[in-house]
Amino acid sequence: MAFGLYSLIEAVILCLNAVCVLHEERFLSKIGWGTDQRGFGEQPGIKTQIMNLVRSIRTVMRIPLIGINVVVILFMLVMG
Amino acid sequence: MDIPSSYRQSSGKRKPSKKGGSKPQLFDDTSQSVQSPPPLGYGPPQAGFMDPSQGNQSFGAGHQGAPAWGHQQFPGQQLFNDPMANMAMQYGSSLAGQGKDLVNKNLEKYVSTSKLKYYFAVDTSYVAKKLMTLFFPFTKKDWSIKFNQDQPVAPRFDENAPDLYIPVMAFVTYILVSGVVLGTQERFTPEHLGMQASTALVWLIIELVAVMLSLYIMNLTTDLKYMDILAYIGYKFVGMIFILLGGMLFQSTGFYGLLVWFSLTIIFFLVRTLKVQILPHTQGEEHHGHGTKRSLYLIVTISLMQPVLMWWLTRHIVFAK
Repeated sequence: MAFGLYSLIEAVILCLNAVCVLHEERFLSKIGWGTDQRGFGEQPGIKTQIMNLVRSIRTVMRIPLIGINVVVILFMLVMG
Repeated sequence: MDIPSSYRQSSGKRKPSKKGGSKPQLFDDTSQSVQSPPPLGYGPPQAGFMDPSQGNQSFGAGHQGAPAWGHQQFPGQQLFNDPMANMAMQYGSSLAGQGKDLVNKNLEKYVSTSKLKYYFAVDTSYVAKKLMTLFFPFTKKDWSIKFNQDQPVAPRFDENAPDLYIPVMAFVTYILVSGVVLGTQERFTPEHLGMQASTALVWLIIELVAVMLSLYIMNLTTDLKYMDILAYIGYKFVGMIFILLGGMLFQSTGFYGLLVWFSLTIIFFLVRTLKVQILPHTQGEEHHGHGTKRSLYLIVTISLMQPVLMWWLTRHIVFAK
């Protein structure tokens, strides 16, 4: 039951990494989750919203994640 | 030009208080010097702070115009310490005020402290009514929020409004009661309190993020702020306190009996409350079946998650492994 705040932070960082790893052309467009198949004016569905979310996370978090990952890896190397 | 005038007033006020003991005639002088027109050489306090001699001279010029200044033989020395101290204090307090404004503004951006105080505007009758609703919600008829939803409603005026007072107090009480329960089983250590608090907080955050994410992904437009959601998912701690106490007194019978009862009440409570909060806005726009169905799914999911979390957060405390 030692699921504390530090574990939560680790889990969040891993999830963010997992989202950032998804590649636009190599992966997402092949399974039909690319950015281009979207119509204007219609109510955005669940898939569109998820794609929006994935793309926003990738845009915003790509650069900061590099630093965060380095810090966390060093921290875990030192603390075990 | 705001700062020098206030500086002048404050220096006029401070002087008699400092020197009034030895030279009482200074009271009249300072009042006159306050009434006299502002001297030209004042400038902003920052300039005077960087160049003390200039500020000092301007001070001497300004105050020598007053007739009974009493220390005309050493005007510079007499005035050097006090105005400079005042000036520095003024400058520092203005800096501190700027810093406070900055902190308030940034805090406002993330936590919205002005909205936060509405969630704690409770009184005794509201808390009693809300607790009664949480214990036995089945006979309650009116679940609507009466006030305008654009601005937050003080729970004092509307008993169906969400508050954060009961969740916060219930959370703290849950931590303490879990310490008591662990103490009766001879396995209490001080670290347990921190671990319980951390674990409960983490599950609360996960639940909050999950609800916010699903609200976004399902594209549901609601008036629910994240504070509201935090309040609604925090009400389960009220039941968890009693589940813990029941488990402590009557072992597994009390634990499961109270767990079932409070699961039913929290499901009923949340379904009725969230139906008011989430559903009307999908009906208000042009009616499409997906929105209402999705929000119904979401309400049911949120409500059904509560018993699972209640069980998960109390099980390991009551039953030793």
